[in-house]
Amino acid sequence: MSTANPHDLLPLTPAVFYILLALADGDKHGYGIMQEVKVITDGEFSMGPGTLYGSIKRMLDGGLIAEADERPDPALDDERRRYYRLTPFGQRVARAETERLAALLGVARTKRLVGGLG
Amino acid sequence: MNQTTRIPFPLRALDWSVSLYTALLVLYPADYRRAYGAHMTQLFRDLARDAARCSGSAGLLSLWLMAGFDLLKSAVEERRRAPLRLTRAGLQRVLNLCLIAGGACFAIASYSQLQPYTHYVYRGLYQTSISFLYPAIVLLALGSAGLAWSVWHRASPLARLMTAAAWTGMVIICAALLGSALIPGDQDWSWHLAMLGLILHFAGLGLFGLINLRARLIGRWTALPALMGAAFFSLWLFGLTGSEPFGPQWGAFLIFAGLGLGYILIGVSLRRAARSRGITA
Repeated sequence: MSTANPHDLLPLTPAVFYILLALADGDKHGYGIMQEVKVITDGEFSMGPGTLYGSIKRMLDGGLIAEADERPDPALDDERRRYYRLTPFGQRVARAETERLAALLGVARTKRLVGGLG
Repeated sequence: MNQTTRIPFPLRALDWSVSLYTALLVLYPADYRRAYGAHMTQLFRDLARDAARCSGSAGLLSLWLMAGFDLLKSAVEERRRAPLRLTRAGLQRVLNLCLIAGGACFAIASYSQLQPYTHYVYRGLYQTSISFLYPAIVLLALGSAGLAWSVWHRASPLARLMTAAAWTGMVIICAALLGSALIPGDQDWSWHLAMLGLILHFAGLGLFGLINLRARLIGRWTALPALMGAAFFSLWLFGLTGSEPFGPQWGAFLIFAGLGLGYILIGVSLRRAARSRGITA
């Protein structure tokens, strides 16, 4: 388990944060991650294979994600695909980034830049 | 009921796209390509299939606009992050490329011989072309070191000495050019030093070439170094060394351009020989 401070990695790049969000509810392969990112951003954010695997490489190096040993549904899957899962450290980083963005959103609300305080 | 029928997307375009994308992965560092290349190709194939199914050719084109730019951007990023590892084979390959690039610059610089003005007064295109001489000499010095290194372990002591002389000659020319740029005043000494370097270089190259005719140390075009040495010294034989102070010097132009081409061909030959010996990655 990584002993690094999650706050040292903040702010995250959009690609890294979206990948963490995509893996938050289960292991996925590259194509699955892209599909999930497309859904959660309503198609607003798109990244190519280069950005995706560049980010995955750095997230693996940083201990945010790991290669999954088990395949969610081996019978329906191509065994050449590599699955990724969120590590406990990756979860802490995702939570820290979410809190940072929430705090930022709070500031924006007090300044009436977005709705919420009337 | 009006049912739209989608024209079946040509599978060949899909295959070509995937093949082209796979080929472009060469832009990434080798380690990265080994680790992620197959997965990137798989992902691109999935995306291309989706794009083709939804929007046909337009979808595929749109994917290329996104994925092509993404590939270039991330390849530059990965190259920037990759640790610089220069292996022996890699360094030899770089030095052989220096010989090729130096030869090209030397050939471009030879165009200055066609200037219609008084000797050594360069203007316009002639001035531009002569400015290629400086990078040419530096690159050829590196390339000459590569030539010596490439043949060193297979060559006789005499052949080694000749390649070392060719390299030393180029280093002397570099020193002369650097000196003329840094030291103000009378430049005659730098001219004489450069001439000494040229003579040493081409004498070394030419004599190495004679040995190479039998020993075949540079792979293809075995007669090239000897021909280049002979071509250089023919400048004196045919009185092309600047005794005619005005107008274009076609003879000198052809010889210098030919020498440039010779360096390029030697560089290509060394690369091919290295590849056939299996030392290039």
